Amino acid sequence: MKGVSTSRTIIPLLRRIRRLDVSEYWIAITGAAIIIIVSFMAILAPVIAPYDPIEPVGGSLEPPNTRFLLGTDNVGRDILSRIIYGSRISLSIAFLASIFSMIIGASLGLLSGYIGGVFDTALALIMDSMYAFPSIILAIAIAYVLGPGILNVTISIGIVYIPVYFRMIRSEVLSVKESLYVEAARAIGASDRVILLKYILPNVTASLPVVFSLNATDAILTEAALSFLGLGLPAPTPDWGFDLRNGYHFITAGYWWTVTFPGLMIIITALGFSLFSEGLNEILNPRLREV
Amino acid sequence: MPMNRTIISTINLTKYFPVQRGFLERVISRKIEYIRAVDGVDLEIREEETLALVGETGCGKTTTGRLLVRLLEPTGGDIFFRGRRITHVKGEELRKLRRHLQIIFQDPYASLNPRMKIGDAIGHPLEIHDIAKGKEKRQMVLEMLEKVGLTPAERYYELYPHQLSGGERQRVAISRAMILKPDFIVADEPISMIDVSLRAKILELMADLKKEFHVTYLFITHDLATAKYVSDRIAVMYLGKIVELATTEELFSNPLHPYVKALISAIPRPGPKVKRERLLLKGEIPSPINPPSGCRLHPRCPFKMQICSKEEPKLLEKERGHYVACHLY
Amino acid sequence: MSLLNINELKVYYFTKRGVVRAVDGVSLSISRGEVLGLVGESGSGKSTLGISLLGLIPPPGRIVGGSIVFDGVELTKLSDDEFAKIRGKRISMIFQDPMTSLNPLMKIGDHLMETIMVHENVSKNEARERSIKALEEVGIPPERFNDYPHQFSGGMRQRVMIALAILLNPDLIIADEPTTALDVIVQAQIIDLLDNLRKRHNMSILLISHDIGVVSEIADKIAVMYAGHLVEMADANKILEDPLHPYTSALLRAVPLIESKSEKLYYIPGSPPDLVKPPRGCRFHPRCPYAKDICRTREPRTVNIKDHIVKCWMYCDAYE
Repeated sequence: MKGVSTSRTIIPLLRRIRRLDVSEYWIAITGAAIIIIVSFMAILAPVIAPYDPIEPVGGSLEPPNTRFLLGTDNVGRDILSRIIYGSRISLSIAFLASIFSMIIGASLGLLSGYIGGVFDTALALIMDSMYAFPSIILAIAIAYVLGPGILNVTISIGIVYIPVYFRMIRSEVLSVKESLYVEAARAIGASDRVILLKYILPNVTASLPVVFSLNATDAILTEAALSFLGLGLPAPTPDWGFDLRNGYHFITAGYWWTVTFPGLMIIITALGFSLFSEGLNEILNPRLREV
Repeated sequence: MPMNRTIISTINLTKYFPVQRGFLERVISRKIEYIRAVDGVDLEIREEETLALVGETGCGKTTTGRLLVRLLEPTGGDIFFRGRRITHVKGEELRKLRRHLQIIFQDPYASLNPRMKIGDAIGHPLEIHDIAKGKEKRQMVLEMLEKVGLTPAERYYELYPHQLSGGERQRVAISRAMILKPDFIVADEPISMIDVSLRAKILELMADLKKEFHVTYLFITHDLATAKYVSDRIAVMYLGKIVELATTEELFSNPLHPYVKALISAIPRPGPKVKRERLLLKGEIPSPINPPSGCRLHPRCPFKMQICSKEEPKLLEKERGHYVACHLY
Repeated sequence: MSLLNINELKVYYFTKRGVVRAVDGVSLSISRGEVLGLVGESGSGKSTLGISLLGLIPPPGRIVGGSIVFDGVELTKLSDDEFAKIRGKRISMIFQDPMTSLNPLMKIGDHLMETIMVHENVSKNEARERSIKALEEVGIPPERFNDYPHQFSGGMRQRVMIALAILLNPDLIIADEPTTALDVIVQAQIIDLLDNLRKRHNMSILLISHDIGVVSEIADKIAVMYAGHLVEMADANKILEDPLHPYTSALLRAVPLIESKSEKLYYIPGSPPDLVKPPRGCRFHPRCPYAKDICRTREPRTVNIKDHIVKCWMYCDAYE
């Protein structure tokens, strides 16, 4: 089994999963579990968070105690509640940004690879230049230009990853374009549009799920970084990166809980996505162990 | 005997491919070299016949096949379909033409879209040419599946190529080509990648469908024995040119061109070991980029004469219906 | 005294899908200087048999039973190091695809020389001399000694492979579909070359092919495999004129001949068997026109009728 296309191959995928043994999917399961837990945290935030994340509800910098399980920050806000609500921000930005990148990057890659010629060369050059930048730097630059706000942060992160999808899809298109079944499609009279949508597109989306989750991993980290640098979301919004920044000032004085817990959340969530993408890759593109 | 009307003809059909050069080469030298894949081919294919196009690597038979169904555009010469010049048709006109000219490829593992159900793949031509949609299309596909022996048809309709064997996939490819009831089909080595014990089945299917749909075949193969079995007439190609053309019986009972004689004698025979005298040619097929001057076989030909390296022999009718391009005649 | 004696060899591949019984109890022998043609279609196990003689079975495959005795040595019990001494020197192999079998970064002359020097302690000069001689023997002029594989055509590359194979004067050459990727005329040249070489050096050849025609050109004996079993083996002329096993006769009828006795070409109904779950009893029975009840339940015994070996119930009763 070669890969997964975006819609039709759930059944073969399930069949493949049934034939797996534990050693092959524990990574994906672990990753998926983490993602699901954090997602629930985000969805059920209003229900499970003990306090309002924006209002000061306790004393300043209280250590973890029975009232505030993870302590409070300098303004007196409950860190646990902030973390729970923060998951909403991180996850939604990560998903939205990744989807944005994927749709734009993949579409451009598809068109560029198929059309070829000067258009393709020019676009590829632009994309390669963008790709050459370290993602954080590029994100910072774009975020700075766009200004703060959830939408802008999403767009900044989204733009940064467009070249990744572009390159991947374009190279697949270049090879699929030459295959015999595309020639056969031409021979039966299919138009370029039909060939692109029915013969090429379904055959180049194999690696998308994996890249998407890798993307999401990076998006989580980049979003946290942007907030950490103050380029992300405005002040009282519960956000892990922001809290990290905030708590940063107080570590030296011994108030470790202000930094540790937001930091842990970032790590765990990123790890979850990372494990999931690795595990998914193992499942979909298994190493050739069989003859 | 097939009807005498000509369905496809070519005059001086030529296709050259520029040789890919590296960046440095392009900067240093202006001269572009060409692979002369097809170099002046004159053919007349008659309605409802099976013409075999035989040759070894680099002879141009595959390129000729693709030219005739206009998957490639000729560099020179002309192609006519039922008297109409189709050499340079494009766009919508070309698309409409495709209803009548179809091709079956050699590799059944690569010619089907891996992400398309068998039923959808076979029915796609019907959709493209606005012949049938939805239920009607499905019905026509199911009928086709029955005809080619992929039964139960409903089951095969839903399968994907990777779930089928090579022979089954080739039958799907044949269905896809036949569903439009085209006038002319190029079969490019359709059985060379099928198991030996199953080849005759495919050939039988192709023969049955030919009778039913009144199709004309151009059967491309490197195997003379298969050509003998399926064809009415055979054209042998060497390095982009036709060297001999005759009815099948004539070609085998009275081969004229040295290359054809060599081909016939080189065929391995599963018979009791009799020490046969082989007519062997020296060396190997030269590159089609710089073919030998004059007659292209001359460096290897045991009957080479002075004139052979100087002047290219023309394809002339030596006996009725038997054409040969050789200075011996 | 035979050079190679394979007895009840079993080679299985342990895949996720199940156990593929690629070679399932095959016995045959090759004498010195003899050419044995091994014929079979895809999935017959013929290639697996070939590579098992060199200890090159890729995982997840391995030999699970039987023996291979080569000149008195039991090959199945050798370590990889011990096998390395035999590989190339006493048993060598020619593969199907000359494009991918030669190292593209190595001049063919160097390749030949290295092969000699790995196995024998000789000077570079002597290695070079012997390499040039080997190239001449296969019809490659010495000027091409320093060329790279991509500078040769398919047929010439195959000749280089043959030169590599005969370099150390092996006793046995395994040729796995050596001409399948070549044009008909070149194929004839290569087959003739192999015939000449083996006569000159008194080598044995195991010629593996799906093309019974190619095999019959130079084979002394022909063995036919189907679904991991050896179904028939006899002197080449005998088997071609008078095949006993239904599969062999069906195969011969499926091949178009230039001088054909009959006009019709036959195919074998059904499809090649699944080697993970082969048919019960005789593996050919679903496609056999003569199948009886016993064929569907019990695997046929192999009988030897005056040096004509056949594995079919039709011949077991008479020669119990």
